[in-house]
Amino acid sequence: MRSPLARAIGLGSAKEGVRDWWAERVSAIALIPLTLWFAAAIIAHSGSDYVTFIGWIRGPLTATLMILLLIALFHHTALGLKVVIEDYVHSGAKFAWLVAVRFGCVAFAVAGIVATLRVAFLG
Amino acid sequence: MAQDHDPRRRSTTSASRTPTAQELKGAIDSGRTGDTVVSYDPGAAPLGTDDEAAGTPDTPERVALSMRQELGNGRVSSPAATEAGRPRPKSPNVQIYRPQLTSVLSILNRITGAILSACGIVLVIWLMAAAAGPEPYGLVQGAIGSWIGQVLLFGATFAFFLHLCGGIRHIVWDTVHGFELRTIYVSGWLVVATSVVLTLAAWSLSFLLKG
Repeated sequence: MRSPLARAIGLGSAKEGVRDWWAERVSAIALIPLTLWFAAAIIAHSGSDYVTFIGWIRGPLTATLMILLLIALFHHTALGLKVVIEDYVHSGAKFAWLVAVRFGCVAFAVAGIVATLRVAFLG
Repeated sequence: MAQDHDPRRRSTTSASRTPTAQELKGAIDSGRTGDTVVSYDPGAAPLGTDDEAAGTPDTPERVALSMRQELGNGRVSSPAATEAGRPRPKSPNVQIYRPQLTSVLSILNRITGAILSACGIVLVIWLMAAAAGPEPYGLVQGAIGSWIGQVLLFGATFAFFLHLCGGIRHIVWDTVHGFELRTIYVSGWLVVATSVVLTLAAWSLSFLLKG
């Protein structure tokens, strides 16, 4: 993202700022079709019972899209909450919050993926 | 010495006059508000000028209110007074800015993002319940189907569409487009209108399909 000149004279972020900024946009773009697909599917299943719903998740396309949604969603969440914490928390708790958010996002993403796979293969 | 800088003395020269944003800025820069040392405060630089440029300058009453709050009801603060426990006011004087579409949408994008983080957790709980079996799934569905669950879900739907449309607006800005003041307001209202329409459309469709 940095021009060769900026890199040469040492301007721009010295840390990972540009990488996170870029990743937040990329995950946001991925989330546009994924969340719209999810919302449309939920609306379409408004009156569905458990068996119909499980049958829907078991489809390979659904399971794939659901896992992609979970990855993009929690990656985007982690990046967004990181910026919010960096902006508003200035005490010693800042580090603890950053670690908690990172751990939490990874944990929930993995839990969601495992649940989707369980439904897809065992449910 | 402190009294020589007291703005109330100056304001007595013309009885009905209230302080201007420039005088408030002067009070901050000269350290009289207790939150900076005596030097130019870049944080106070947009005070007044931003609102005037947007065509919505602060009323004299608002500036006077802020002046009173900043100076601690007219008491001149010193570093000693600050240490004695008076909370240090924070720049940039959020309390005197009139909320505008631009600033409201900016903070709403963060607030809806935080709300949607919680929704992500609900999504995972929902999937885990589905994987656990019909009974846990029924429990979660029952909670979502309750009236409080439906109210929260309606709010979450609006938060989702607002964050989605606001996010698309941000991505357009990242391509260095749409920064003219007029365009910013048009896109802002477009985000609000689209979010309302999509939220209502989603719920209408859901009710229709539920039968």
